[in-house]
Amino acid sequence: MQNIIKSTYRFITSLRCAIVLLIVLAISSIIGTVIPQGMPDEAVIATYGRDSLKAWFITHLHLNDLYHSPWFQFLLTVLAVNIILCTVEHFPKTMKLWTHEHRDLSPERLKKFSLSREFKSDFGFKQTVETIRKVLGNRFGNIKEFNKPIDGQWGCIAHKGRFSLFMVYGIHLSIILILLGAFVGSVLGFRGMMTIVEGDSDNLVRLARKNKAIKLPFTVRCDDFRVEFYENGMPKEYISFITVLKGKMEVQKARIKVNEPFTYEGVTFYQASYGSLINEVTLVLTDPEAGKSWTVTVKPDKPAFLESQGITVHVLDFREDFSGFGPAVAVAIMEPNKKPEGSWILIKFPKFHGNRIGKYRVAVEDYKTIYYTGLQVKRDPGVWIVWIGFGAFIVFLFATFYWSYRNVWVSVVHDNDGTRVFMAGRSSRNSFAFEREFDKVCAEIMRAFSMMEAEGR
Amino acid sequence: MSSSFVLSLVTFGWLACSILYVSLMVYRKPFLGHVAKLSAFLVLFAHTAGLLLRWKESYDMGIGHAPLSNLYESLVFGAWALMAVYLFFEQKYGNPVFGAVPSLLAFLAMAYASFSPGVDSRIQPLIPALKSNWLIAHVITCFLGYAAFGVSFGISLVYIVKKKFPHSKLASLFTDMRVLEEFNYQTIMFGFLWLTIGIITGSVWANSAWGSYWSWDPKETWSLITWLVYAAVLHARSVRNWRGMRVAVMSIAGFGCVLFTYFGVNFLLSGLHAYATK
Repeated sequence: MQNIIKSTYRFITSLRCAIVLLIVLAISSIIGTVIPQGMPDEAVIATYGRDSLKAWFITHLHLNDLYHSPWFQFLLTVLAVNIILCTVEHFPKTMKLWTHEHRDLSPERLKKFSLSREFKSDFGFKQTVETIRKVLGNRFGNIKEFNKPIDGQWGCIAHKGRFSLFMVYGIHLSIILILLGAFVGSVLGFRGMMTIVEGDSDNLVRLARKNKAIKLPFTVRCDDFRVEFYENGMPKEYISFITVLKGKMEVQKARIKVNEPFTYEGVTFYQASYGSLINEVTLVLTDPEAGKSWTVTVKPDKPAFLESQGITVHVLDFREDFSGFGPAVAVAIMEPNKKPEGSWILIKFPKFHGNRIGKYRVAVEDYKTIYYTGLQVKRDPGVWIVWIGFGAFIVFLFATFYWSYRNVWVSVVHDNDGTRVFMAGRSSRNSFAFEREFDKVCAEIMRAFSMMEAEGR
Repeated sequence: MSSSFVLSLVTFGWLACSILYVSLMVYRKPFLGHVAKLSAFLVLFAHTAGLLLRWKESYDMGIGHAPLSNLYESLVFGAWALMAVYLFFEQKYGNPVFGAVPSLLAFLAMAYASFSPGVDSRIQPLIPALKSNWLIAHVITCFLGYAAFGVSFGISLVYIVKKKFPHSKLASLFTDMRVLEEFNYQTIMFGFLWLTIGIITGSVWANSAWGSYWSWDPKETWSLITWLVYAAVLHARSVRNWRGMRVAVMSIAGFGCVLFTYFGVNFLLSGLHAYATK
């Protein structure tokens, strides 16, 4: 048992686990882009058939709402745990790098570094040491000197950017912050829709993905909705003019456009959709056999009673564009003791043979529509955590990639052959750029030597 | 001179550059490298001018916006970014022989943008969803990322050729493997950084345009998949010490994801990013 726990822990804390998780998340994400998302279970069954394997898989594994399914959320949670544990496991190694100091400055050891130089100095021991001290001091700030690393010699260690070792933890912390922010938002916030007809007001938000609505502590009234078009017919702007009401008091007026949401008491409203409803329609009913016509005006909530014919005319629905034939209204005619009859009436094609209900030909003489606006409504108290996470992520990513822990070791040896300098360097990242920097340091020391030589003469 | 005329000249400019870069590989004469580099800088200059001209023309039409709003404009900008990033790294590493792949890709993107009947090159006004200051930041950062991954794809191809045929004439042309490997790593880091910023700016923008900073739109999801692939490359390299061949293969796979994020999602999957299809 203990072994199982141990090996499970070891797996969860491993990079292998992280890679497996990333691959599984990537593959499931791909599935989510192929299978239509947001389709209700009933629609899936209707599309693929009740007994089909595909429908079974989709509904049981929640593939139609994959990104919000329990197993996907579980994978994300495991990833968060993995990142935290990997960080905890890895931290001592970084601490070791942070505190560790390579103190063996013998020339033999320095020569073994993949990046090392060796050159002669024509100057005395003291002057050589002085020059190197100055050059390295300028470039690296503090240097740590060892007057007697080995008998009768001088050596030093210079380093820069030791904090860069911790930057990668900043990246991981940012990811945790982002996931935390998303979690806070999903627990404490909500997201839904409101559709308000011009002139109407509402305080109920229908929640997304849930058959539920929540009540706002204030009311929103849609005063006006406008669509503007460019000359070529492309949409230019969708604008809702709204008023926030508390009880009967008007508290605030606002204009909501796409890309310009409006926030009130932590609740944000976005322009998401719009549409039009029929407000009033004037119909001409003709009885061809009798050769008579009647004109009636109908409202959706106010059917018209045509006394002479004993019928009631209702308008039920409206479409801006009915299968490419332009606007149409759904009209129904009721006669006592008869089955109601109805049809879609094409407004732009009065002669269309389908514009007929029972024995009447029906034509639309005039109609008035009214807009409704679709507002997405959101409250997300976690969004600020996400923003901080995003900012931190970018900063730490930069720091991780372009800042590194660079070390230079120097040993100056004075013996019968004269004064010799041994240098070695190592960088935690970007070894190429560091190689150039290292060459520059060496060149600078050489230049200082040659300047001294010129002065000496 | 109209921007579309300048940009169609630029298309042939990139063709000329790719011919020069390929002949550099074939004849291996150093002066060809200088000629290729010089012409690449000239064409990039003309390309920049074309983009700016198109920007100005949109203002003359009274619908001014940055030329980053539809498939045509994103292809043109993508080609520009690819060569700009490539030339930046060529300057830094001083080896012009990698230029064949990026300049060929730039030519193909420009040719597709200019000559495909499915791509509308007219300047269109911005639809409401695109009317935001985030447009410029989001598109530029994403394309810098894509471009760097394109350059890394080219380097990876070269690396594989050199590894598989170490004695071929082509292989003798390139600097040593360590330079290639480091160059590849640098471009991947650069690309990853910009893709990250691109996803983040997109996310912040989506929060004000669509009301959610992440809605698992196919484009978002695929950019995350691409991001995950390159994150895996970077981790494998720094923690597991993967080098050379494996990194090159993964970079090629990653660029496949980039292409799918850009083209595949537009043409095969529907979603909120649908304005990039025409």
